[in-house]
Parts: sequence; C-alpha cells; structure tokens
Amino acid sequence: MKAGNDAGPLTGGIFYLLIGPVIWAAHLLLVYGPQSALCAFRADGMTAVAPFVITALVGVLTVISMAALALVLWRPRQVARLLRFKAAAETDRRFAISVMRLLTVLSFAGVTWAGAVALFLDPCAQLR
Amino acid sequence: MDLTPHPINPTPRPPGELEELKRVWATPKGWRIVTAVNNTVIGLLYIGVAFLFFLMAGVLALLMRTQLAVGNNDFIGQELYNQMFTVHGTTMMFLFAVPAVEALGVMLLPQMLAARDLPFPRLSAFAIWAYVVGGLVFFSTIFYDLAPAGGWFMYPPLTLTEYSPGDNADFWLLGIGFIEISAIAGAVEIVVGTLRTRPPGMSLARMPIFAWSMLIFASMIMFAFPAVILATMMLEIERSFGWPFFTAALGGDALLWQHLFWFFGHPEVYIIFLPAAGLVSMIVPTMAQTPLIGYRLIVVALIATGFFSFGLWVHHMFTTGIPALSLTFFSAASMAVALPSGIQVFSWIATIAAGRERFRITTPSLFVLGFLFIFTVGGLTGVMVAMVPFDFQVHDTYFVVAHFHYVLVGGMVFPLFATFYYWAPMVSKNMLSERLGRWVFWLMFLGFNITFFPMHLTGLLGMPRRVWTYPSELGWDTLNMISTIGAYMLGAGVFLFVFDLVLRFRPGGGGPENPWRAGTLEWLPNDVYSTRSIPFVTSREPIWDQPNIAEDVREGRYFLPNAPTGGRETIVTSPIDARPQYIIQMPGPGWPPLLAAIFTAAFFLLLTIKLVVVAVVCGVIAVAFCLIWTWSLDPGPAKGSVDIGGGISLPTYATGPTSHSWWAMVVLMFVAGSLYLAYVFSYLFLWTVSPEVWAPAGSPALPALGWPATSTFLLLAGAALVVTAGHLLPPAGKFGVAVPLAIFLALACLAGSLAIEIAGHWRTGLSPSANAYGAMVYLGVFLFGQLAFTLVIMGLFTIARHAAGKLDRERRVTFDNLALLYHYTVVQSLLGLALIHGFPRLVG
Repeated sequence: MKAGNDAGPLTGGIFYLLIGPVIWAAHLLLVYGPQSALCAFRADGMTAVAPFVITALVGVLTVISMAALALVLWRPRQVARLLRFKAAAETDRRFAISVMRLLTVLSFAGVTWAGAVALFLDPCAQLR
Repeated sequence: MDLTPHPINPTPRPPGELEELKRVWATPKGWRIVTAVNNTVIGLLYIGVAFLFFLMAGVLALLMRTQLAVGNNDFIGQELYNQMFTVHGTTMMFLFAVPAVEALGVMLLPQMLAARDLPFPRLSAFAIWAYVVGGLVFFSTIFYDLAPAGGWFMYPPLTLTEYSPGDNADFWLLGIGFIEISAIAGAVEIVVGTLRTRPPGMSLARMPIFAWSMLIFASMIMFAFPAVILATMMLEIERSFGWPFFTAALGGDALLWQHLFWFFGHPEVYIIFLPAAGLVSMIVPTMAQTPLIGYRLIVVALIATGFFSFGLWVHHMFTTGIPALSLTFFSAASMAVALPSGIQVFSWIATIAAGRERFRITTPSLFVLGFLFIFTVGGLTGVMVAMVPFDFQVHDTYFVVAHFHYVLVGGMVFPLFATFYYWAPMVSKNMLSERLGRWVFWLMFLGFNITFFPMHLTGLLGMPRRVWTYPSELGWDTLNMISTIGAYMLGAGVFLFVFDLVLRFRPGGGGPENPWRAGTLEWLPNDVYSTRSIPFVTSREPIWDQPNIAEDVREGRYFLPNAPTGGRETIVTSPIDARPQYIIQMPGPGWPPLLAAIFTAAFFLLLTIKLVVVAVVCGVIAVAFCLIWTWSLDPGPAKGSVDIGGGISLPTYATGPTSHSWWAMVVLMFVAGSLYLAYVFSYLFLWTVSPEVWAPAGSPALPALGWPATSTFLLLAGAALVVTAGHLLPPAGKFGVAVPLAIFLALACLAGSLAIEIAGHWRTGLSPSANAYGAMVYLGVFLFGQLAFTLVIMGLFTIARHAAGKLDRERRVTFDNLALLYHYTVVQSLLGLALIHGFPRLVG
C-alpha cells in the first residue's frame, strides 16, 4: 500500500455499489409519477388516456428496469470499467462486486414485485 | 512510499512527546468545560441530554398511561393530553432517538477509527449546543400551555391557524426545523469523518459495521431531512403570511404535507434503527468471540434498507384516497424492506450459533436478545400493516401504536441500553453493575411487552389512537389497565438504570481495558488524544488479528505518535482504500460555537413568539460568532510537510477535492439539492391537484421572456466572474484588487438576478397569498434568496480574508467553498427559472 489517492474515483465506486438500488429508485419514480399524474388528470377530465395505456407504461418500464438489472448482474466487470471503478486490492474488488450483485438481486426482487401488480389491478381504481 | 503492516516507529519514543499530546488535547477545566470540543466530552454531553429527553418524554408517557388506565378518567384534561402526546412523540423522535444515535456516532466513531477526533469538532459542538438549548426550550412549552397539540406529524389543516391558533404549533415548526438543521450539521461531520479519517489500511471492506451504519445513517439524513425542513418552512409561512400551500380552497392540498412529512418520516424510522443495528453487529461478535457471520450481507442489508426506506412513505397514506395501483407499489416496497432486515437478524443468530465460545450472557447480551425478539415481532406486524386491506382496518388504532413501539423501542431503545452497558467502560472509571443490569433488563423487557402487546388487541377491538379517554362499556378497560401496569414496570426498569448510573458511572479514563475482549479499535488504550499512535489496520478485528497492537499503539510505534504541528491534528486518508493523504489541523476549545448556537436558538425561538427585531439582532450576533469561528480555520500550508512515522511525510494542508472542507461543502450541496428537489416535487404535485390556478389561465400571465433571460445572463456572468477570480488569486503575500472586485461583481450579479426575478413576478400582479401557484412561485424565489444571502456573507468573508493576507493561490479553501456553493446556486437557479417560466408555458 502507498500513501496517496485511491485507485479509482470515489463517485464511480459509489455508483458501482449502488447501481441496483438506483435502478430500483428510478423505476419507482417513473412508474409512480406518471401513473398517479395520469390518473389524477383522468379524474379531472383533463385527459382521456385509456387505462391499458397506463398499465402498458408500467409494464414496459418494469421490463426495461429488469433487463437493466439483469445486465448489471451478468456483466459486473464491464459495468465497473464503464464507471471507472477500481480497487487497489483483490479482496476489496471481490467485496465490491459481491455487495453490488447482492444489492442488484434485492433491487430486482423489488422491481418485479412492484411492477407485477400492474397486471392484476385497474391502474386508476380507488379502494373506496 | 510503501507502508508496512507492522509497527513502524522505533521505541522508546523521545521524551516529552506524550506530555505534549496531553497538553494539546487537554479538556478545559472548571466552567470552561462548556468550550470543550473533544468528541468524548461533547459526545457524552450529547448522549446525556438525549437521555434526559428520553426520561422526560417517558414521564409524559406514564402520565398518559395513568389517564388511560380506566375509562372515563379525568386525571388529565383533553387539551393537556393532546399537548402531551404531541410532545411525547416529538421529543422521542426528534430530541431523543436521532440525537442519541448521532451522539453515539460523535463519541464512538473517532475511537473505532482510531482518529484523534472527527474532522470538524467545532461544528459538532455547535450542533450539540444548538440542540441542547433549542430542545430544552421546546420541551418546556408543555409547562406553560404553549406546547403544540397536533400530533408529532402536525398534519394540516388541523395545524393551520384557523384550527390551531396561538404560538403552540409555531414552537413545533420553528423549534423542530431548527433542531433538524443541527442534525444535518452532525450528519456532515459523520459522513466526512467516516470516509476520510479512517486509519491507514482500513479500506471500506474492513470498516466496522457501526461505521457503515453511521455512514448510511448520515447519508439518509442528508436526503430525508430536507423534505421536512421544506414542509415546516411552508407550513410556518402559511401560518404567518397566509401563503396557501395546504389550503384546498386556494389550490393547496393538505396531502402535500403528508407526502413531504413521510418522505422524511419513514426513512426516519430506519435512520434510528440502522445505527442501533450497527451497535448490535459490534456487540454480538464480541460476546460470541467470533467475527460477524455475513459481514458482506450485513453491509448489503444496511445499504438496501437505507435505499428502500425512501420508497415506503406512501404506506403511511394508504387511506388517503390514492389509486390502488400506486398503493401496491409502496406495499411491495414495504414488504421488500423486510428482506434486508431479515438478513441482519439471521446473521446475528448465525454469529451467536457459530461462536468460538458459548455466547456470553451479560447485560448487553440480554438487551441484544431482547431487541431481537421485540424487533422481530415489530417487523412481523410491519409486514401486516404493509398490506393495504389490513392497514385499512387498523389505521389510526392502537394496533399501529403497538407496532411502531415494537419497532422503535425494540429496534433502538434496547440496543441503546446494550450500548450503555457495553461501552460504559470506554468512558467511565467503573463498569455498570451486571447484577443491577439484569434487573434493569427484565423489568424493561417484561414491562415493555406487558405495556405494548395488549395494545395490538386494544387496536383490533377498535380503540383509536390519540383519544384522551374512552367510555368504560366498550370493553377496553382491562387491556388498558394491563398496559398501564406494564408501563410503570418499564419505568421502574429505567429508574433502576438511572440509579445504577448515579452509583457507578464516573466519566474519565482509568477504567478496565477491553473488559469484553472485543476486537475493534475503540478498545485500544485511550486518553484525551484518543490513541497514542494511529495503527495500520490489516483486518476487521485488528485486536484479535494483530498481536500486540494495543501495546504497540500505546508505545507510539504506529503513525502520528506525537503532535508534529504543535496543535490538534489527525490523519486524513483516501475514502476507499484508506491511504494516508494529509494531516488535518483541527481547532481546539473555544467560545464561538457555543455562543453561535445559543444565539441561533434565540433567533428561532424569538421568531416563534413574534419578537422579530430581537430575533434578528440575535441572528446577526449568531452569524458574527460563526464568522469569528471560521476565521480561525483554513490554517494554510505554512507548516509544510510533517513526518508521521515510518519515514512517511504528509502535507499539513490540502485544497480542492482532496480537502475535507471541500467534502463538507459537497455534502451540504447534496442537502440543498435534496431540499430543492422536494420543492420541485411540491410544485408539480400542486399543479396536478389544482391546474386551474396555474398561469396563464388561473393566475396573471408570466413575465415576458426578457425577465428570465436577463436573470439567466446575470447568473452565468456571475459564475464566469467566480471562475475568473479563481484564476486571478495571487501568490502568497500579495494582494490583488481584481479578486475582490470579481467576487463583489459576482455577488452583485446574483443579487441582480434575484431582484429581477422578484420584480418580474410582482409587476404581473402575482401575489403569494392569492393561490397555491403564487405561493409556489414566490417560495422558489425565497429558496434562491436564502442561498444568495448565504453567498453574500461568504463572499464578503472571502474578500476580508484576502485583504487580511489569509487567502491566496495556495491558501484557498475559503475561496473554493465560495466557488462551489456559487456554482451550485447558479445551477439550481437556472433549473428554477426553467421550471417557473418554462413549465406553465409548456402545459398552458
């Protein structure tokens, strides 16, 4: 070990570790925001978007997110290179890859869980 | 140069080295103790005051349980009861739980990281004193009928002036808003401290789990607290000036408060829980004498919980009429967050089972086991209320009261008591009594379950929350009486703990060394300067894996065994690999942080009771003390490089992205950015709710495009001037008039841009009190104005330092901070101009 700087930039390292949860958060934002806004506009009579369009939107965004997460799981080294993540020691590199992968698996479960309900529910139905 | 993993300095060390360390780090004596900034001193004060709030809020709980013991009771009147449950919840959440874990961070982190102190000791002192003064004044409102009565979440419209007249709600809004700022100051300290003051060799993969949990805790504060700060700001502005953010008749929406509050409020639960889980992850391996099973999995669980917790806020709003599909997104996330929590529970159980020795049943272990049981029950009822149909049934009933007490008391209070018993020897001459500790545990454990388990049933029987009494014939009496008996039992346990504390807790060194045979660095020999030398770390449990490390550290055989700059200092290392980078020179004891905190608290509290002129005077004095305090920072590179041992020489000054100061400013920019995103969300939310009040149809037409174009030009010109000033900084000892001139012009550009933005809207006849659209437009201007005001002060300060010969091409940290915040302000303002002037044109 030498005195000096890290092997790679910190932002790349942080983003590499968190890429799964970031995709999960983006998915939640992108399905919840447009879905709730479109439902509000439908209720106000401002738009006549058909319900199946909203369902399809949620479905498409979910599939894209799942594909992105699967890609990250499949090619962790390429993602590391893309984000310029480097670790000085092999143990640290293995640690980062396994943490990133496990977080991605959890995020995959979260995205699938949230997105799957669009198949079963009317997108704008109220429960009361 | 290479660092060896072994002791690097020859011994014996030169005479006088240890004495100098003691002199430099000495704690002020007598009444000057209030000026102390050492993490062990102020950390202890911090946790002591947090515990005091726990006791006081606990007394309120006992009074409320006494009132509810039987039906139709008139022991406490309705209004006082409302104030009591509001102050109880608010105190427990804002004045006890978050400060207590932040205090543990301040106290334990430097020790665990073998750092001499956290990087901004005066900021810690400021945060703590602000909290002490503000918190005590807030709590005291209960004694003179000025306490808020709207519940700890202060929902409008109940808390609007029409339904909550008087100053009671304002005490909550300004008092708690102010204390949140103190929490953010602590978070800045913890983020930078954890990432930059680890010992050489302690890469992220070797960091103690508590440090991981505090890093995530502080990061969550950065993103969660700004939402509620914005919300409190909006509600206070509506109460004081009538800007209708939450008034439905004028296009506002009370649900906006709920969104903003719970975007903070749900992560808040994990903000409290994660550090406590981190503490458990430190205690369990020690008691099992084996490394934590699934270290990586626990890191994953902490990060995942921190992240997922931001996607759960709507589960507090299941009954507000949001479409079913939206609810299911959040229901799924609420259930998904149980996965990482489960990972941690199983890791702890596996560690207990796999111990090299039989798991020792000590008082800390008992509290950990109690935590495991109670928190797991709370987690299971959490999954129940995450299901929308079930939540519909139990919403606002005592079932929910039972659930969140199981999560919060189980998840935070029990680990905290484990912590008290476990880490007491680190700061006290005596350990706490094991014998009394077992009594404390059993009284608290049984008392807790007797209090709160029946509440599940009371809730299922239909008893609503927040009622001050109930008719006897509803069949709730027996369960309530049992709960009240349990509450007094719990109180007796806490009382016994206080008795033990009085009997045995004696702050100061000289206590038993590593009595639990732990493996982490906080158990190295310690004194006021932390460890004598800063070790090179090669594993997660250095005391277990590096023989003689304690002796080598004590003899000064590792890094920085002395005070080479003659002042307080510690090693700054790189954030990922922990490579030594430079020596940070830290300030010592002083009055400015204390006085700045007192006058800042006075500013907010006097504003609450509408003593505006006196409040402003206090605010000016507070700013003056902040400036006096910061004037002594940025010591410059005059001391050159120093030898830290092992032939390694490090600079004593750093600028740019290497500097800890740069990091603190970046963290602060994240906080500001988060607050602004909450504003953007609020703007778009209110537009979806009330598009009919938006310009151009429902409000005066927008200013002509020339207005925002001029604002944009001024902002960009200001940014260019700041860049130019950076290039024009002269060498040391020279004064260049171009630098002050460029900074001054940049500030003028900023002020001009702000003035044009205000004037543009004002000329159209748009009023902030006319409707929600006007209120949101002027709130955007207000947020811009806040940053501009801060920059004007910072800019004038920078000019003054340059004039005093304390700022030049090399010694430029003050300027770098100004430049960072200026550029951030420009970006935020350009986004704001696009939103305010572009969005209505786009959708109109």
